[in-house]
Amino acid sequence: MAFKSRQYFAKRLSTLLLSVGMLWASACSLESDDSRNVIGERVEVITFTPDGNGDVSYYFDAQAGRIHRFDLSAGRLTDSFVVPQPDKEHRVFVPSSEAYVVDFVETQLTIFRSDQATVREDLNLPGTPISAAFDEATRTLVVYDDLSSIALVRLDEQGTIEQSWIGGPVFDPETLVRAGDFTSDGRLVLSFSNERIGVIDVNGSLESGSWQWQDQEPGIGLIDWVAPIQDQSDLVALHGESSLVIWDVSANTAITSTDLSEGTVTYLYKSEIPHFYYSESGTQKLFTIASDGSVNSTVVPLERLIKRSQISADQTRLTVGYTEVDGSLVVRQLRIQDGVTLYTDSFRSMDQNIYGFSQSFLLEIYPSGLGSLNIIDLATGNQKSIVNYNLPFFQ
Amino acid sequence: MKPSRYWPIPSSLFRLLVGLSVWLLAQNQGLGKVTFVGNGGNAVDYEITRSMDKIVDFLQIVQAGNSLPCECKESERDFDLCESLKKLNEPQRKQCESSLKQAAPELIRLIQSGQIEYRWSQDDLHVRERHQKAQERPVTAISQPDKNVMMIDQNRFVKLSTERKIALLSHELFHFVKAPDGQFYQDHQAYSAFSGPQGVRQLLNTLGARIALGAWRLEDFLGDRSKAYVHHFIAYRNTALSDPDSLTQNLLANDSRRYTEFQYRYYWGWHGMGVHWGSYDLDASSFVPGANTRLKTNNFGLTYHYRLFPFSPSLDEAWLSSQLHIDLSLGAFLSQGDYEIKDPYTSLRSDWNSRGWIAGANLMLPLYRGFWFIAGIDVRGEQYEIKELSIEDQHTSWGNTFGVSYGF
Repeated sequence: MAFKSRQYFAKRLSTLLLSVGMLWASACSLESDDSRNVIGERVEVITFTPDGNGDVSYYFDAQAGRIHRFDLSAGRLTDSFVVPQPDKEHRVFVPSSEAYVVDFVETQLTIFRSDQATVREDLNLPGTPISAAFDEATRTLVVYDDLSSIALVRLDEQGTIEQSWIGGPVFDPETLVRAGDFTSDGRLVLSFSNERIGVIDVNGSLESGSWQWQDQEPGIGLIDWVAPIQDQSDLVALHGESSLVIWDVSANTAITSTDLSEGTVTYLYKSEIPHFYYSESGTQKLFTIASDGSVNSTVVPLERLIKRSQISADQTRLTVGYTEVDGSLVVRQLRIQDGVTLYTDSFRSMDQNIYGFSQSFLLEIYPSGLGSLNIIDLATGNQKSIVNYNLPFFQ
Repeated sequence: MKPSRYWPIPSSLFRLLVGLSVWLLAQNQGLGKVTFVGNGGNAVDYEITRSMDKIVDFLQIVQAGNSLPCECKESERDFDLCESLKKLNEPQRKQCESSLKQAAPELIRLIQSGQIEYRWSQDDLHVRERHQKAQERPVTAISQPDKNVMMIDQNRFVKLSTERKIALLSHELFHFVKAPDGQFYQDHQAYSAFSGPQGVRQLLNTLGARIALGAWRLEDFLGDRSKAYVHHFIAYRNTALSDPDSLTQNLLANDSRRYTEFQYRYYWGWHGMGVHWGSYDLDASSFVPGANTRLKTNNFGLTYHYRLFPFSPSLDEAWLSSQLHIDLSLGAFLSQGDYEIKDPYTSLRSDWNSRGWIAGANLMLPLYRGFWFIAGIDVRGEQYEIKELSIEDQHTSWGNTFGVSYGF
């Protein structure tokens, strides 16, 4: 019994130390989750379903060694998944349909279905997965690691891996992949270090085990951001060295171009409404790309650099996160039309907690072994708590 | 000649010191009351002096008019002394009590006056039975009331236990007392309810046993050692319970719980009933990382007790052999309390309810002035419920118990 207990607590202690380490790393300064230089979206310990109002959150709880699903509207834990290697750092990726929950730990990928069945696969990526994209129609998962390697994974409806292939970071001896994403109709568009883009033949690449692509040249220099545009299956937004181009990948031509040479693009975000922040002459501007491909800008009345950002589906509200001079985290919701603050809150204990927000909810998660989090409804300011949700998993 | 490092003590001073020591010793031990004749006095003299003091202490209680039946208590049933007392019929018992009461003042006077001369004999002593002229019977002492002399076989006397020494001397002292009929008690005569040919001998044996027993009850042998024959006991016990995995992994991180418990027990003879109130307060690290568990309970229980006295008692080691015992118990308990698990961010609190049975075997080791040391084992079966966690379970725990008790 005593030996068993020592093992048990050693394991739990290592989990605690790991989680404290993770939180410390992410909390000492607020890291941006911008989507520059990645394929798809960055994978993190917490994610919100991108459709609707983001009222579902998945979170890797290091204390319990599980991925939890929280219904933020109802204020309750609705599902939980046991992950392999719970003592290690995990990242979560969930497609908008929630058909699967994808867990990344080191080079291993675990796919959870809603019936708790799991599929595990060691992708043998050379690096650590940092981002992922998913095409619902073809059930194709693209995983991008910190060494610019790319995994193409084709799933069936049950989440079983039908095909997978690891593509190297180099397309040809002088060409590296820089960024990418799926178009809204499922074509994978990658940008290269040679200032060109490629529309990837995913099926052909999976079949042949080598990259098959159609080369295009937008002519805007090095492209570090590729974002799909909702409802416009032929269009993608490309951020080049000093401009933003709405590019038609079918017609191989630019639809619109926005000059950004007078200022600095700080952070770029995809979500449902692709947008980015642009500083020019001391003014911070928000650029949004509408579903019709039009680009609009408005001044954001904030001096601090915005590192986290969400736009409501109706494009009326902007929720941002930034750090104040004193190090505290500020979450603020603004009305885009006139910049009026609808909600604001400040958190000083950033070195302990994990924060995340969707379009509608702010989530404050404490490093509690028993489980404790606060949900703040950004529209009403109402607060709910979910507590002790980990307790049954330790019994 | 080298000078001596030691200064010679003047012989007059030496004699003075020795004389003073003897006088002081005599004052403390009552040597002046007893006259010894033998080989110039020896260490066994003290045994007689001490025994006589005990006899006088007891007889003074008799003289004061206390009712002192010639019988043993249930808790004294294993004493050798009780062999003769247990055989008495009702008339003999009454005769014993009557003779004791009647002779007590004279016995005290005899002892305190010092008129009896005690003579040590290094040779075996024998008496010739009146009805068996051809045979001699070895004896330890011979009394000659006409000469006020008691001859004692020193070799046999020193081998007797303390209670036997008292019983023997009491027996012999009665030979110096006249019965209500004006005659000295003589072994070979029948007397009243003791109607056999050795009736007086049987009576005096009984009286000797009764006096020895009374002396023991006067705590002279136990001193201020604790006594088992009192009825009331209160106890404080601390029990370390080793819990099964089902409990430690589901509710508590610790392998053991520690109970503190107060008991009151009432005994009649070997049987007893007890009530106990126990509390348990644990604040320890939890099975959930970073969390603490607190379980605070109050227990109330009823127990039946049975005492085992494992040793045949001896007055020489009466404090241990006659008092040390094992208390066996069996009972039931109810427990109520609070269960709380908490970390710096949240907590969960719930009522704790349990009930069960408890059995124990505890060694009761006598200390002083009514206090006892307790060591033993407990086993308890417990069925508990924590409503907030929707937990209902049962388990059996073993525990090591230590504690102290006070009997009165």
